[in-house]
Amino acid sequence: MSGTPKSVAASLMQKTLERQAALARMRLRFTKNQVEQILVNCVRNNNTGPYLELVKVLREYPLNEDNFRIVFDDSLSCVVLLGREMTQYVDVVCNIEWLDRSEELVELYRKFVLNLVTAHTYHCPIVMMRLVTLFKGDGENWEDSPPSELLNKWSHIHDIIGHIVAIMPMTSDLLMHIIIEQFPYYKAGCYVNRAYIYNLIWISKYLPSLQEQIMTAVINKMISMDVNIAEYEKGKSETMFEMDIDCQDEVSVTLDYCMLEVLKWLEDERDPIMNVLCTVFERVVLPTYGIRHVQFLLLYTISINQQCADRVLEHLWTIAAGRQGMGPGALTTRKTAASHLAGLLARCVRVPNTRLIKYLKSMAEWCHSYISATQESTAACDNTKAHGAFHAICHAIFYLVAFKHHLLFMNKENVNFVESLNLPRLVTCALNPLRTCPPQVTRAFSSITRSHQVVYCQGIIEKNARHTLQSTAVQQYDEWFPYDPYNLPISGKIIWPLCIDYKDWLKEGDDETQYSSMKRKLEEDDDYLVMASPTQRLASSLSHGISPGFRTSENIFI
Amino acid sequence: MSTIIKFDIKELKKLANDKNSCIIEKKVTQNLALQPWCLGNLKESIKNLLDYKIGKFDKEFNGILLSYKNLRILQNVGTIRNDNADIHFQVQADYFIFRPFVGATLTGVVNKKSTTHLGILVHRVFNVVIPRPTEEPGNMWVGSNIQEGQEVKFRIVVLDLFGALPYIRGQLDDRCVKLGPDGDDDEEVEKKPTSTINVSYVDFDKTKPYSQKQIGDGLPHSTSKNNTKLINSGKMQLKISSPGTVNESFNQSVNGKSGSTKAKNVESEISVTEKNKTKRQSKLIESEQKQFEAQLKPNKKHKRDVQ
Repeated sequence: MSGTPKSVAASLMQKTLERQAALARMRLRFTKNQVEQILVNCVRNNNTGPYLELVKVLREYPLNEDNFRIVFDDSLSCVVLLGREMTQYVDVVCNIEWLDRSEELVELYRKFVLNLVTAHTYHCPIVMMRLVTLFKGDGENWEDSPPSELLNKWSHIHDIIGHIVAIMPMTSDLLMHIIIEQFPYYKAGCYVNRAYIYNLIWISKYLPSLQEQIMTAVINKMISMDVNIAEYEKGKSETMFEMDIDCQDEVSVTLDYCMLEVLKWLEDERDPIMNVLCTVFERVVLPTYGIRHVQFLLLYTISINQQCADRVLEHLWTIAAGRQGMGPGALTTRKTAASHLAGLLARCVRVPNTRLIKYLKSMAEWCHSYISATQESTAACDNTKAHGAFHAICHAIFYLVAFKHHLLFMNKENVNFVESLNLPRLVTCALNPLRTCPPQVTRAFSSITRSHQVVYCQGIIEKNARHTLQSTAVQQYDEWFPYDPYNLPISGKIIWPLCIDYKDWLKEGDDETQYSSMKRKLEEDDDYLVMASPTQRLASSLSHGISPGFRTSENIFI
Repeated sequence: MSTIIKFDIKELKKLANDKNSCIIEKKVTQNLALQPWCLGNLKESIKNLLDYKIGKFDKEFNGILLSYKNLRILQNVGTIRNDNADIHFQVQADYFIFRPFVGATLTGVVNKKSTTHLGILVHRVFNVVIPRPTEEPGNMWVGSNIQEGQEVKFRIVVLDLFGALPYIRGQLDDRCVKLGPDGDDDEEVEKKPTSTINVSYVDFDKTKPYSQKQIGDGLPHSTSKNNTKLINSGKMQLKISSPGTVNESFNQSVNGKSGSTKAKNVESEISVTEKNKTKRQSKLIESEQKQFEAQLKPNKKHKRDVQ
């Protein structure tokens, strides 16, 4: 690359400069008590010259072991002098690289930091910030658990944080504040985010009182990743060219590993943390519309813990039905709650059938009483906003009937139960819930109920179609189904076995679970991508299977 | 608001009655501004607002709020002022306020001792520093023969409550600390710098690596102690063991003890149905039941993997 003589000269200059700097670094040697002298001089006699020089030196040169020891020994002995006016020095000293040094020096650093924060509480934010930023260092992603060296280093940091909080209880709030502030940007990369979350989970283990706040912070971050993935996928179908794909893939990989860490956390701590997760879900995840992945943490939780399952389902139902304490709540939240409830009941393997029957029953009862109530009032207007919650719950019923047809039409007894729900009344009522029902749900529901002679909705569907032909506005359906198959490959290995795939009743003999088909897909990954020709894609996109809500694992990789 | 700085009302009452604690109980009526979305659950949001203030300096109280009781909202209807979105409510409550002042005498527990200063905790949460006087001639300081955990009396010299953490500097009351025979025991302090502090809210075992897995497995007492000792003595240089190997070693130790049930345990390790588990459990002696239960958890994991 030696092009012009100019560049050669420049590179030579550069080399000389570097060599000189290295020499200076070699020669830099503090004598014992020198640092102390400088500091004392600065404070007592206001002699700032040497002090500023010292700050500059410490900022620019890496220290060798001896110098490190001298600097910290001296700082330790005059910790009391390091008041507010010495903040600059404190900042620089705390920033000195210490993690890679020997045990003895790490111990020295720890002692200095502890002495410093107890002597001057106002330095605490700086110190904490420096410690927390260390979790954001560079590194390589790990497979199963982080390399032991790294764990060792992190444990030093955690040890210091633990001691600071033990000595100064009030710092726990401050720590939480700094943790949230220092959270890496969601696009910052997989390793950084994963390492940070790993360490936050670690903190929650020795500071159990921060558990809930840490969980909230982590879930919040993951939601922002998730939302961005969903946004992107929406955009992808609209643009013609696939641009900045790498960056987006990065986010989904990041989310994948973060999910893995949180799943491990849930597996480790079980009951207490699962209850915390439920609380956080109710507060943070539920009001968020359109996410695709984070809610699977809840699915995992309720498949493991029956109490949590009952708690969550009950809570979702109270929100959807608008029965919580103060007022019915926002319409969007109620709709979201209804779709979460339907999704969990439909997709989760471990939800017992008794629950499905219980909630189908209470939903149907609620809807019937709603119909009776509105019949008495003024003529039913077709304002879907006013009756949005009713529509949402009806859709949940239709969805569940269509999805769980294997179970619900399995024997005479179950068919009797379905008939007892009096579905024809819901379909034919003046509020006309089928009109706003997403077409794929309508299709599946009508075909299954017709074949079992429970409801005949064809007439209504056609009437609705005629109405939509007249009106100029394009009808918008709510096509978000929160528990459509999960498509992150690594954390999916834990989640897939817990999900049920939709089985079209027309297709028979397909006994594959979502898990096995997904696994097979991953194994034959490369071949599969080559084989999927455009015509095939078109063909599969025309079938029932691809529609949201009934999406099977077959088509999520397309 | 973290649970660490949570005060019991009874405890505060006692402190408030004590003249020397700098904690006062005061009935205050104040004006709180709420966001419109808080109106859904008024009482709850006012509580949240006040909880948020706990542990922080408040100008209105001229001190740090510790707790409150008898919360009452005085109006049924809030007021909107000056085209602001906020809705104002008059709220009355009995507040417990920590209001230290320069010159006050406080009692606290020493929780950090170093050669240069003493760290003291007052009322369980407030840190006070007593620096060693530097100007004084000689090497004698009464503070140096105070032990960690000892209760001391001091006078407040410098006070700054406005920062993220309150800063209180104190001065030892010479009369309260009697001078010991050996004036200085700095050496001793230097030698044991890593003495761990016992506080309920920090679990220092878990700041070490690997401890997480043991806790996740819910080991019975005897074995978990052994394991942690092993790891601590090894100075964390053990190779990382995957959860599987941890379970294995754990199983071995349990099996060694239970003797007769050994074969069964090994069997159950592979994979058993729910029914078999309960049957076996009933066979076991009660004392061993706990251990067995603890062992079931890893098995569940295995089961999932097998699926």
